[in-house]
Amino acid sequence: MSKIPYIHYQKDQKSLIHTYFIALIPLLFFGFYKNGILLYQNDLITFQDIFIPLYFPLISILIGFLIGVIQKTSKKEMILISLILSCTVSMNTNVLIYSLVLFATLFITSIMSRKYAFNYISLTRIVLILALIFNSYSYLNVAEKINAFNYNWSDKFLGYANGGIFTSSTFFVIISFLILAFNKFYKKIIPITSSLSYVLILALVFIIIKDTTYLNNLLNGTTYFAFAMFVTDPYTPNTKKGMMIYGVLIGIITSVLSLVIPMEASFISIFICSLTIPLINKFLLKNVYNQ
Amino acid sequence: MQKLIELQKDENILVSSKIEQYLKPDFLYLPVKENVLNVHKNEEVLIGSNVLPQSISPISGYVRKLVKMDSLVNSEYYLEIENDFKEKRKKETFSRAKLKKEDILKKLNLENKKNLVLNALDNELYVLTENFYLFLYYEELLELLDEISQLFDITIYICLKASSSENINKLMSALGMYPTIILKVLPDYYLLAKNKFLLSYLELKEEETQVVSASLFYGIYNELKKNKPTTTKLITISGNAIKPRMIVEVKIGTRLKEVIDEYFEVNENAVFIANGLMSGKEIKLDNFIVTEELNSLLVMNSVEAKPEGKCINCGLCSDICPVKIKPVFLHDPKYLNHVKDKCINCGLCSYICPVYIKFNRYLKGEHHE
Repeated sequence: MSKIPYIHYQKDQKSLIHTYFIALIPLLFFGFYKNGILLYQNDLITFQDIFIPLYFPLISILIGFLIGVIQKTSKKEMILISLILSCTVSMNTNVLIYSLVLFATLFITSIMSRKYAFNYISLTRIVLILALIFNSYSYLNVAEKINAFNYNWSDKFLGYANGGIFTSSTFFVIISFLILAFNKFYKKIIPITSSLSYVLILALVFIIIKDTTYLNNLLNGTTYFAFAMFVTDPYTPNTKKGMMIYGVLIGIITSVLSLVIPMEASFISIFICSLTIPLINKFLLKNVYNQ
Repeated sequence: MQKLIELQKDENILVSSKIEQYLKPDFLYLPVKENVLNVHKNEEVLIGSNVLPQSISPISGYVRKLVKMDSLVNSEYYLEIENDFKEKRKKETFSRAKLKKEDILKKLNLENKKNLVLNALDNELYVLTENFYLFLYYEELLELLDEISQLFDITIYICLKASSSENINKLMSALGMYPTIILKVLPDYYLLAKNKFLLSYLELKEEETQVVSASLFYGIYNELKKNKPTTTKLITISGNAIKPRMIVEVKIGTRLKEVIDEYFEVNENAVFIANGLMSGKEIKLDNFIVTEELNSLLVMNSVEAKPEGKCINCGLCSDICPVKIKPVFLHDPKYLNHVKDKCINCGLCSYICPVYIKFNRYLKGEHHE
């Protein structure tokens, strides 16, 4: 029987990409407010410095477009990936080195991913730490460095804690996740399982160790951002069961790593777990035969 | 029960309630399935003559020759019969007043059954063939169902779609005379017309229930009550490249092109699809013959197929599969062999796929990644 393309569900991959862009909007606005406008209002930066947070997404959009053109792949997809990456970097990142590292790494890893399946977005993000180390490894903005504001837990949940330029707000990450979850093609099951296992393990650690510093990790918006945006990269297990296993595994490894490197834990964890996807798929396929 | 979905359709494609009859073709073509003919060249045949081991002649006329044609039947050669337009019948038709249990058991397997379901649902979008069998012949169908209910201790259901409001109105008033018949109005879900899913939806056991389509049941009515073999067929002819869209009654064996040329205006770039957009087949109209298997012809504007993208592993194909196959694993030859016979070729996996993967090519063994 021939299959005729006259009938298809009204949405396709393009709609998913558009939804990602829409989901990023609240985060971009809040990040610009927190790291630009708010600091200017409190005389911590000059007027020109308000726009520093926007350098990263703008440069990333250009780089994504360029890679899309050179590789003759979907420009929208490459722009989206580089935009997502730009959200997670620190305010202290060296812009020049960031641009060079992002271009080179994203270019190479995206080509590599065609042959060797792995989550190349997380690997690119890990390499981007280089651009941060070059200045100073810190996710604190000017105000946070001098402890200018005294924030409570709910403020931190809203986003007034340290983190990536546009990812410090757990609240807005949840909003973004909800926007994405409305799209049928979005793999919401992975962020849900990874977040749940991450929260549960950190809560367990707190109960055992009774150290509140680990509780801070629970409000790390960057981690949840990675769960919502990085982990759903096309290369994931392809069945519900597989996605759940994958999500739980990511949550567990992230929670363990977050005790040492809270800001990068999720990216490293996603990269490591993506290497196990063939095993997860193989295991599930074996189960299908045995049924 | 497996969750079924409603397909998104173009609301502009509406089939009119006008019905045309194309019952006097010059020639008819019957598929030769077993390379055995019961007739010879220029022999005169009557309506109902057994010209081939498993088919009768729908017209009276003369046997001419074997020709190469195409249809939904797997057959290379077709027996050409020239119409003499005299409509002479092999057996006299008569009306049988009362049926016996044995007569019905010859046609319907009602032994040890508790339910009989008359299925007037059409599976595919823009197709209303079964719906129209019920619409046109509801009095005959109800008469036979009533007789069956008197002879057998079974519950009788008539199933139709909620969208067929004219049928519902007709039946609602008629069913007052047949209290033993239960009307089931069902949602417009794809695949609900398939017996397995219909029974599951109605929560009836397969081994206790006989399902029969409205078209087949009308054929049984004619054979049992009128002693008339099935020689014609209703076909839905619709699509976005044709006007008007309607139901046509044709003689089995008619060249489809003759019917199209008679009643329709077709766009130049149109493509022809037999038996539905989801599980049907693209055909070439010129030598295509109407057989019992054909229930619709959709004439669609030719569109450029979207290029297949790389799988994004969303898993929706597995979620939507009504027979629980995991299409993402079909590229694995071992898995393919494991599930090949399970697939019902419903097309839902390709319908939902965000990167337009045509999964059925794996089943045809065309491509392995």
